[in-house]
Amino acid sequence: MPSLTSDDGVTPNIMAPINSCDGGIRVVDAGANEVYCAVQIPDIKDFVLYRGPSSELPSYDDLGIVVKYAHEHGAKVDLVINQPYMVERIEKHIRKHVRNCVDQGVDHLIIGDFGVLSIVKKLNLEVPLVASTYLASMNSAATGFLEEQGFSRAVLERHLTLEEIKRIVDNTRIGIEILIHGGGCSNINASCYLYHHQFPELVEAQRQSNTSTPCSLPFTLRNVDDPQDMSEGVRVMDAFEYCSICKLPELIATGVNGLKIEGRTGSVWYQEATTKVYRELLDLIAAGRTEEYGERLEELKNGVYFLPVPSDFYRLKDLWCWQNRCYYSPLSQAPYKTPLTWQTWTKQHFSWVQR
Amino acid sequence: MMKITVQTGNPSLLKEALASDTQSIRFGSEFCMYALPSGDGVEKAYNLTRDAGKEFTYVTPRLAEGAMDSIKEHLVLLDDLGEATVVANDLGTIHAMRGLSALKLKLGRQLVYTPSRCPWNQITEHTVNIFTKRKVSQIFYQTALNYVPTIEFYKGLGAVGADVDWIPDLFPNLNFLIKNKFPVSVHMHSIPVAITRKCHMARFLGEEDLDRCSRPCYTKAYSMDNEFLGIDMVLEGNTVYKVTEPDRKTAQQLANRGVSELVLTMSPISGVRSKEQIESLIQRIQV
Repeated sequence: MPSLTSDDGVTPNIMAPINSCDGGIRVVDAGANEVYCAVQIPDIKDFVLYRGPSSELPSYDDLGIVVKYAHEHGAKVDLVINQPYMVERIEKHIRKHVRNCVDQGVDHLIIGDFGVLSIVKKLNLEVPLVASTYLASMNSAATGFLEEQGFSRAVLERHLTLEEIKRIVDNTRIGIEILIHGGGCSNINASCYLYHHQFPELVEAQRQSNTSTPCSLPFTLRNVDDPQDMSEGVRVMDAFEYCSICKLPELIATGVNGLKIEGRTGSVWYQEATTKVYRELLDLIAAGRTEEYGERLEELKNGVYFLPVPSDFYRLKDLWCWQNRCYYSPLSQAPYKTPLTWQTWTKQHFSWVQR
Repeated sequence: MMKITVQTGNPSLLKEALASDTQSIRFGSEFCMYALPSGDGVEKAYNLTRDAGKEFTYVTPRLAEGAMDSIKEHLVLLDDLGEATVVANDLGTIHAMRGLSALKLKLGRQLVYTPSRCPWNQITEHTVNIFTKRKVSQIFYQTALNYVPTIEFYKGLGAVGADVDWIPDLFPNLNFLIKNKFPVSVHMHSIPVAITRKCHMARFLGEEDLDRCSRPCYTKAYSMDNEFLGIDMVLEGNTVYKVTEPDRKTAQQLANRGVSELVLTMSPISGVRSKEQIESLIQRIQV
């Protein structure tokens, strides 16, 4: 059970991702104030953008079960309408889909397109609206714009600094949510078309490089004007897993209303474990037990609890902390020098040998 | 007649563009908030363009809070200077343009969601029959503006048109926009596939601070190859692109559809960096 209600006006909500009934029940038990999920749209199953069915609840009945359990335990359910754009051909399917989801009792609709917004408005629903990251809010003028369009909350784009978030919160009347943990898109969500489709070439490329997303693939980079200027095996798009456990006090101080964990495609174990950790840490901070919070942080950093695939060899701090892979550390905004492999270093320093 | 507009954010390339035969100029940064011109730079570019008898369009990217402050100043400045079009790629820019009556709003590519920018070869996750594939293509090769309420929404905000990409499979669906009196400008050469704030190229080249970036993207672009993926992409600055090659026949088809403007960006990807190269391309494409 959540030990803190988010309505105290100080502690932000924890928003956990789910893709199954089991996940819904377990993240609520782990302390999520809100769960967010999508449901497969039955009539356009073959039209998939981004992550596909593995990130969605399979049916409206499953959504109903999650909503019932969440409401019984004081949590809310936010429905992601997975549609970054709207065209006439799918309008009736989306309208039916929204109606079916709202009938199951969802508490918020997360919307990422103004065409979808027009459909929802025409349906005259009493459900509050949340602006998705597809609307790429990165400044207070944008959140002001979204407020005028009827949104009651907005999820900010990932790549913002703590100072920028604070300024947006201070200059915005609607609720602000931020992403705190997860797959770490290295590109701006709304402008990324590297869909995570499971087509053979991409699957093979990912298998060969032991990665799970297109943006973490290695590439050979060649200067288009000078083919000699070349580097091999560069993970140039730089996607990493991110976490924010150390930054929680500063994130709370910004005044955001929601802390959102990414991972609708993740395992139930991941969804539950991550929620549990953030719940525990937030509760410690809210209770003023800062020393215990610090001790727990150290424990977590020396463990493997968070890793998507538990490892016997690496601790959290070996994999993430040393690279400052925190969502809101200043370094995650700035470019860093790509570590040189010995081959690249040799090539750069002894190019005369090759010549 | 379809006009060809030259786009650049680089002041030295602007001089080349002004000296060329092009009728209109786009100045500014389409994708990078760290590459915004100064207020003086905007004013100078505006005055030079008007003095050369050409139309002026100011191009703006997605913006974080600090960059938004600069853009607000630039918009007020432009509004004082006279008529101009502003390409907005951020909802905040649309908001900031309220009440600036001399400025016309055009939607940038980042506000026009277009699934067919995706570089992968397949458009469905698994093998489907030809009828299903056709059905999916009919949805896939459209834009977020292929829906009347969305067009009306943006028109209500004062938008006078939008930018789209050179994706031939998309072109038949541009008829819908033109029929609904929403003019489109088609960008030649590069289709943005992924855009980041923390610049991939600056990081790769070891730039320490984006606020003091030496702008390697003005002179360099890198092809990105992965042997298993088998797809050509190019990195230029903070954006990964799919590259296309414009041709006269397709340009003719676009003109027949009622497309009013082609946009040529001066960049390492287009390979166009001088007056002569602009004019040669206009000769090659012009219909």
